[in-house]
Amino acid sequence: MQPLKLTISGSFWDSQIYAGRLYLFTDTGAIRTLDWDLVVSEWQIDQRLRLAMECAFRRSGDLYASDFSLLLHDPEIKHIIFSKFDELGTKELILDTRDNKGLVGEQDTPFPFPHSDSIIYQSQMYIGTSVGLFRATCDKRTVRPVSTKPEKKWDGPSLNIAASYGEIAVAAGDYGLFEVPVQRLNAKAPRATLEKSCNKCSWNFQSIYCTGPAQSGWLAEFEKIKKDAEGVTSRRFTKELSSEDIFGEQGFT
Amino acid sequence: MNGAPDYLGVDRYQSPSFVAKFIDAGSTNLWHGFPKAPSDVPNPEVLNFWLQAGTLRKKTIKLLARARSCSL
Repeated sequence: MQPLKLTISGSFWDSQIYAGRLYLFTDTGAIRTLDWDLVVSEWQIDQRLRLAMECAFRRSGDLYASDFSLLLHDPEIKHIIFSKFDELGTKELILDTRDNKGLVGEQDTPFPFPHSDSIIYQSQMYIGTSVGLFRATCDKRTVRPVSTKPEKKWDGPSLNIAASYGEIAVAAGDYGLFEVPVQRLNAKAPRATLEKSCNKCSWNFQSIYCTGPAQSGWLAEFEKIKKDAEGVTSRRFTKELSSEDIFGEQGFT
Repeated sequence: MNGAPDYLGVDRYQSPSFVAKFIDAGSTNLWHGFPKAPSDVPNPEVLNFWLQAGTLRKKTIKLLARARSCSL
């Protein structure tokens, strides 16, 4: 199957899609927020291709829903669906942002720009920069799509960030791997997980995999601890595993 | 020199470097420079100046911001 491509006119530094909205960071330091659900649902396209359009760009989960697995695994139905995606792949899908279709708002970014990384987690936008980690609300209840009152969560360099288990994992370069709790009430202080140079990090279940400039990757392995009285599952660091420990040899990460 | 960046030596991870980082460690206005490693990411203000002025390609600035190795 051919990859599908939808082109959005303009020049952008970064983008995020979350809860039906597309956030585009322009090269000039603005954030354009689009109602992505509206843009896709009102896209002018042949009705026969509506299913492929919606599943490709807005509702991909529908194709994996267990309720429909019997239907979707039927060879004839599968063939029809595949043919729709193939046909959609031949169309030139271009969104011209000059006509402001689906535009929710445009604002100056409230964060230092250009940033190193961005994520959205629990309706909060987190921005990692060399001068710190920042947070602002984007829960559709603020006046601007992204709150204009950001909070600096941490002073350290935040070169790559990833969220899970109520924590933001931060690759902080030579300072190592840090974890910054997202909890805002009774917040715990950010803590160093491993003080080993780290430029990239990603979650692997409850553990965090990192890579740095000097060596191949390594895993900060955690184990889950049973839920406490408030029903919160916590994690406990167990050990560090090198990529050689995991893959048997060097060169994979 | 001649439109090409100068080779400055190796960074602290022994990788070749073409960008220098300057620091004023004692706040005495005596600046000391050394070959920049990938994790020495310039301040966003500097990156934005380069981006708006077209000093470096956008792709290069993006790699510098993300602490990745790149060629100039």
